[in-house]
Amino acid sequence: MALSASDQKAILQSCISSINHESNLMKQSLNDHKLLPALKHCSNFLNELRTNSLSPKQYYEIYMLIFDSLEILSTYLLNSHNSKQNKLMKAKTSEETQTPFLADLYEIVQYSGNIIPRLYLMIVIGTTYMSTKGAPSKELMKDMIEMCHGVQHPIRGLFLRYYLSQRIKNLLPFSTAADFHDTVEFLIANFIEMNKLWVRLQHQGHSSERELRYQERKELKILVGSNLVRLSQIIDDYKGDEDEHYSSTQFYHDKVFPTITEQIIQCRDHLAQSYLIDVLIQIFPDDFHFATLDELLNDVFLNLNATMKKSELVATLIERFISYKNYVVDLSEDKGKANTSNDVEKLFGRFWAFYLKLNKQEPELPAEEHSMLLQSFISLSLTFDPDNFENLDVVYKYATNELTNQENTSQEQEEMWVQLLSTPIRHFTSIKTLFKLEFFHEFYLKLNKEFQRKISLAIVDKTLSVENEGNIREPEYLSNTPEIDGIFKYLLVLIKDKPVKVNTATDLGVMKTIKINNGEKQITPEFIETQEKICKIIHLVEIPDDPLKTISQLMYIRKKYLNKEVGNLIFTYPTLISRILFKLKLVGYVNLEQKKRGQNDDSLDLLITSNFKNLSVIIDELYQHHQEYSADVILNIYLNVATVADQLRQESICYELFTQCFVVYEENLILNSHQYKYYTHMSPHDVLGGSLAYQSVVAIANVLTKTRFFTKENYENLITKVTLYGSKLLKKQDQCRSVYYCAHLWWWSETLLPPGEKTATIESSSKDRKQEKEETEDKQEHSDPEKAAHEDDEEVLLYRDGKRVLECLQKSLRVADSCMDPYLSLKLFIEILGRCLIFNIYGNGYVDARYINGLIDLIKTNIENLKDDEQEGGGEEEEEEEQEDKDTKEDDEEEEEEKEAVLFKQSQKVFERTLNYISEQQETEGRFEGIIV
Amino acid sequence: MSIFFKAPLDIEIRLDNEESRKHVDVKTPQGRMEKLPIYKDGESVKGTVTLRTRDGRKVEHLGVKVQLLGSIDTNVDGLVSSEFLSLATELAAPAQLTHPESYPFEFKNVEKQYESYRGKNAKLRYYLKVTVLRKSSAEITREKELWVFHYSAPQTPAVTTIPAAGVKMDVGIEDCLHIEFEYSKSRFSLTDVIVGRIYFLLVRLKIKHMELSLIRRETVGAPPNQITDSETVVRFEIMDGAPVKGETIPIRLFLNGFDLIPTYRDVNKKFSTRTYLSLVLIDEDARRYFKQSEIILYREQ
Repeated sequence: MALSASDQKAILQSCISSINHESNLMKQSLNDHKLLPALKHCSNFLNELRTNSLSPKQYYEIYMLIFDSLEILSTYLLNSHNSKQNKLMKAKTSEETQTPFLADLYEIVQYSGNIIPRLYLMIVIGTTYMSTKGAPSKELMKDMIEMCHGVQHPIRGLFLRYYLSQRIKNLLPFSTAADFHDTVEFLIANFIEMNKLWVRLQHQGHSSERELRYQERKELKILVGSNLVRLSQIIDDYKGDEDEHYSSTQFYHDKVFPTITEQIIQCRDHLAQSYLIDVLIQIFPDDFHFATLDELLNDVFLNLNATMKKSELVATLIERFISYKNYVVDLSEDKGKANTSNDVEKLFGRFWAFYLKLNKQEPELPAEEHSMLLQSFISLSLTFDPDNFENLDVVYKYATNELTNQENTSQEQEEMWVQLLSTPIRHFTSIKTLFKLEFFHEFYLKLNKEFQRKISLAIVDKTLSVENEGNIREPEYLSNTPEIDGIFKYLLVLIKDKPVKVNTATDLGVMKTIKINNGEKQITPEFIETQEKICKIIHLVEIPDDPLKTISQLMYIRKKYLNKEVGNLIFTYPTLISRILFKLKLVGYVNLEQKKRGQNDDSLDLLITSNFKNLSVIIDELYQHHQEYSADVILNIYLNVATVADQLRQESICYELFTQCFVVYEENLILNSHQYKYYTHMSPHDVLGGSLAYQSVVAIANVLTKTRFFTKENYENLITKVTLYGSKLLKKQDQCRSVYYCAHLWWWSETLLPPGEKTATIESSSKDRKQEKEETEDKQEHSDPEKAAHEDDEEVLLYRDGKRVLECLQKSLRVADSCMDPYLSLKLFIEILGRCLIFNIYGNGYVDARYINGLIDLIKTNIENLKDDEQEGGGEEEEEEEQEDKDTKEDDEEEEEEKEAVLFKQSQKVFERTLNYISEQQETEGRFEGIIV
Repeated sequence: MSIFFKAPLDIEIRLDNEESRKHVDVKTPQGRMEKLPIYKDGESVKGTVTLRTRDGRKVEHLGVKVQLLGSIDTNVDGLVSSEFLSLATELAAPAQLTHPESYPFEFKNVEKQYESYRGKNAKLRYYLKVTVLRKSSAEITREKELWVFHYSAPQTPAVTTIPAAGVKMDVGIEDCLHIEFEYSKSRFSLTDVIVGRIYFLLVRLKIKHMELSLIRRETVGAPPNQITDSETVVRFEIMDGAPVKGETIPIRLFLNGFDLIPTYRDVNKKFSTRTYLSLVLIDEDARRYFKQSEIILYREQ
């Protein structure tokens, strides 16, 4: 008898209109005070509730309409009852035994032939009657609930009983103990019957409509639950009627709970059980649940339908407890005293016992269930007993031993376990607490890599999270080996993490990737992020006030964890190295200070030396694995370390490090076949651009200028080598520039030392220097005696070798001259002019006015030549180029032309400014004497 | 008849306290409602007969008598009437009436054995008949019907104890349905309430609803040519929807509002009236399953 939706709608419409019609007639009759016709109409519209063909929702619609209409009737009845009562009071003549008018009505409506209208009428009149004074409420209650048995049709019965409970809910007597018991009985009885009907609905109709039934029942569940809600309220409202021994908890435990749960168990219906247990947990106060916990767990949960997800129920219950606990905590905070709950502490034990029983009873329990349950237990334990980790360990131990042994763990299951593990991570304020859980790690190890990663990331995030519930907290430092081990054993999986192999066929380029190693390798941003996080953790390794120990811990980490995956060294080692270096620097400075004060600590010296050695071993390891693509990074690391070593006066080590730099340079940077595109695309005119090799040379040179503690010999060795490297670069502009930069290596311009200290480079060779100086003075015809004297006076002990400087400048001039591109050549000339001016200001006698004038002239000539070329040779060049590649289009050529013109103009402008500068300086500062602008 | 041959006399029968006496509405065969005074068994019938002459004529008569008659009319093979009660009193000796004259009469403590009844094929009535005998023309008569209620005495304790256990019945169809029903008693006063319950022991039928009906059965005549007429007086739904095993459905039926008559067996060996309580179960295919049982009704004061 399946009706289509449109049919149902049509039926619904006709029902509604008929109800409205009859209800209007009823109102008219009531206005005319014709009660019996009104009842007749009432019965007529109630007949609509007998329909079979509506869905529960539609039925509810007409139910509501009728409910409203019946309210009108009820109000009318009440009013007329009251007026009659008043008349009686006034007259007083009539006997008191006169049967009440509502009682008669209650009987009259029972003649109604159909049961549905009859019962609705009975209820509306009965409840109205109950609301009047002196009504036999309890008899009425009993009678109505008894008669409701007549409706066995699930939907109609449910609504009828719902109507009863709605109408009666504010009339239930509970002032005396007897009344209260009757009321509770009434509610429970109604609940039981409604539940029966509700469960029965499932089995109505064709079996193919089972799903539909299920849905319908879901829609109706609130009707059933309403009884329990009211019951809870009543129990809450009842204060025990002078019975001092009355305790609502006890009452619930003895009376209400067994009846209700028995009903729930008996009905064996999945939906009913899940919904009702949920309602039970939600609506009754927490105290009740504490009182009945054992029964609830062991008698009820274990006896539920086997397909029920106990985990959900347990989770709800535990959530309930947790929120209760939080509430109590809040409360006690307000009051300022802790509420010592009865046997709350044993909660975990009780739950755990239940869990073991459950396992015994249902060995086939799916893993999700286990996981959910355990997760709930963990939250419970964490909330109620945050300092007790034994419980947690019990959980993990169990999980490790019992649950993960099954080999065919599915993806979902694993995910569950991840959930299980991450619960405490989220909860703990300090991640260190985690290390106290013995079995946490064991359980963790049972997971597959992917999930281990997830957990590890969670741990890392937790560790790194600076914010804790809005308060910025101090980062927690890892200061001893157990702690380091504790966290790094979880990090290991991340350390060993390999960049995901990107498969374009499957990913379709959706995954964002970054190309590294000259495009040979692709990594995801997530991967980089992870590595970055590891680095951040490394930064947390800190032993306060003991940098040496910190260093040894860092070394330990490297040895034990970081070098497990050589491919990823490049991401983590730089951090590690700089961290060690930082600590080493601290130690070194302290050592230096002590030495200054005359306290020589040889062992400390030794320690520092050995640590530097270790450090270089680390860098070497990194170099071994990553020389191909990351040589420049490694070079920089070496240079950093070298700087520090120099500052700490570790000359031999520093020298060694520079040698390493050179090795790196020679092996990997001098001729790297895979030039970084980033560098090669730079315009040769750009001062900052250049090949990697050029960059490296400049970098080395930069560091070298700042070293102060080499012996002269060593220093000169090194700088000569760098300059040589520079002069052998592939490109002219690189050569030129690096050489003129290197010129600075021979002419220190600042001491970079604390006052009173002297540089080793000069000290060792002060004698040589003097000789040298004399020589230079002799050689130079137009030496600057003033300046030389000046130097001597001040005794600024800076390493200076003017001749070499000049040589370098000459060399770069030659290189610049040999450039094929005249514009570039001009540019380089101007740059060299700049350098010359600098050295001139520094007081290098070799770079004198004559030399500079010559250079200026050279530049001027060049400019003139180029200008001429432009005027006449524009066409020629074009022709030439055309011949070279005929395919290139006119536009390109013009562009090229323009570019050159622009460059030329720029060069001219730079030159002009330089000249302006010179003349300005001549005027204001008296410098650049003899330079002709 | 009296329209065509206008009787020279008006006979009026007045009963004592007729206004204050209780009356009952009875349907006439023509379908109109008739109000009749109610008498009990053993109650004296007392009244006055007034004779009035018309137009001041003189009417001679050979005597006036009043009769209290009880008769049963049955319709089995043609209308048969038989009297079971006949009392008569002379009211006046032969005389000439010139002016209205009243004669009181009284039938003292008349035993009215049966209750008045108007059924389909049987009728039991009590009536007063005043006859004015005349020599010339036919006698002039006037009838007035009384309605007799038989009140059974409230049950003696001895009687009530026996049905206190109630009427219990097990019925069913094998492997389909097994129900047990129980009424508090089998004897009911007409103002009583039938209270009971139905207990479903086995339900394999798809029951749609369940009704209780009261059937009045009138039997006229002796077994060979007996006529039985059944009429469903009340139809009362007591259950909606299909119950499951173990369900108990309550029954409560107020009888007061229905037009029921007490149970009479073999009234003067002419007819019987019985009432049956019928429990009807209707399944989804509109098949009806029923069980009837007789209940004894009686009239109570």
